[in-house]
Amino acid sequence: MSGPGPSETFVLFEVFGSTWGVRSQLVQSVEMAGHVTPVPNAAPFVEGVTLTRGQVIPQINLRVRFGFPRIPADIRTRMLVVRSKDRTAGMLVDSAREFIAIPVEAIQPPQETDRPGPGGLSTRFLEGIAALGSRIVLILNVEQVIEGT
Amino acid sequence: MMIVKTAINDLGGTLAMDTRPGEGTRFKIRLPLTLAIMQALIVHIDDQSFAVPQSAIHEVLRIDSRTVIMQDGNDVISYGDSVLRIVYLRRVFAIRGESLDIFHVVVTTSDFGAVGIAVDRVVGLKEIVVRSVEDSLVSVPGIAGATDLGDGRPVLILNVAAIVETLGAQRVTA
Repeated sequence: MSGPGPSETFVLFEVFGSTWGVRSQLVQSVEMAGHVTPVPNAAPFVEGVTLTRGQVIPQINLRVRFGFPRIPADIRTRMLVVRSKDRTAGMLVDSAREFIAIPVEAIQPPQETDRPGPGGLSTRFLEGIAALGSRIVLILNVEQVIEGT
Repeated sequence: MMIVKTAINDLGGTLAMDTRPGEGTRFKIRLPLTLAIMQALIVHIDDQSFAVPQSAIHEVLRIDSRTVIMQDGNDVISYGDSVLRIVYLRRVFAIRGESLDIFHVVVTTSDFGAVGIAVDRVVGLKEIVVRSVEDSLVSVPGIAGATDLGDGRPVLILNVAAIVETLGAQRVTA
């Protein structure tokens, strides 16, 4: 995996013990989890709205989105502000502190199967899986996360 | 007509129509003068603030919950020489907890007559900057937008017309 092949840059984050990566060009900023105002009758995985750079954006709790239990925010909790198809949203994650380049050939598409993926997760939010030595990075499908339902 | 109504609601306005067979139809479109800045009454449910556009408010009443009676399935209070239907914001927004023994009712004026919106407390009148809340994840009925009161915490602006409609009492043919 050391060759000078093409690579893409990713922001890495953790949710429920798994390492995920999101394409860095989709990430507008990584912020401390700030104030969030609950929005009545929104989907359960939507924490509410939050203000970032003068814009009111929805905040999605990725744990809840993935079907895992909520945990209280702590000093490692981060919000990744991502853009997808002209929509901007914040994704609340357990932590985010790495920015890496992943060679394109290291990224495998998820297996087309009805079996749940890593961590009991459905493959719906999974765009690919990258093996970096002994480390597994799950590549996030941002569009699926932001799409309602 | 539904598309027009949605567009007008999104701007914080209201649409009403009145049809008389053989005579014609009257459309009443009310739009806020400015989309950017408005006067709003800040109200609370528990510790969460909401902003109610002042243009929709007629008056504010302080109510003892013991004076609320049920009439034809609606919660009403006596108001002038008539009654006022009230809708509990807490119920509309499915916020857990019970309303207080003494609460406030924001009397709103709409094309369907006066309706009271019950909230826990009224904090005061503020000039607010309106920010749109467009994303479909958070565009829910009853919310017209958001503002912040200087602490970086978004405060939701109520769409009074949409909340009043949750009563289902008025009939609009659209």
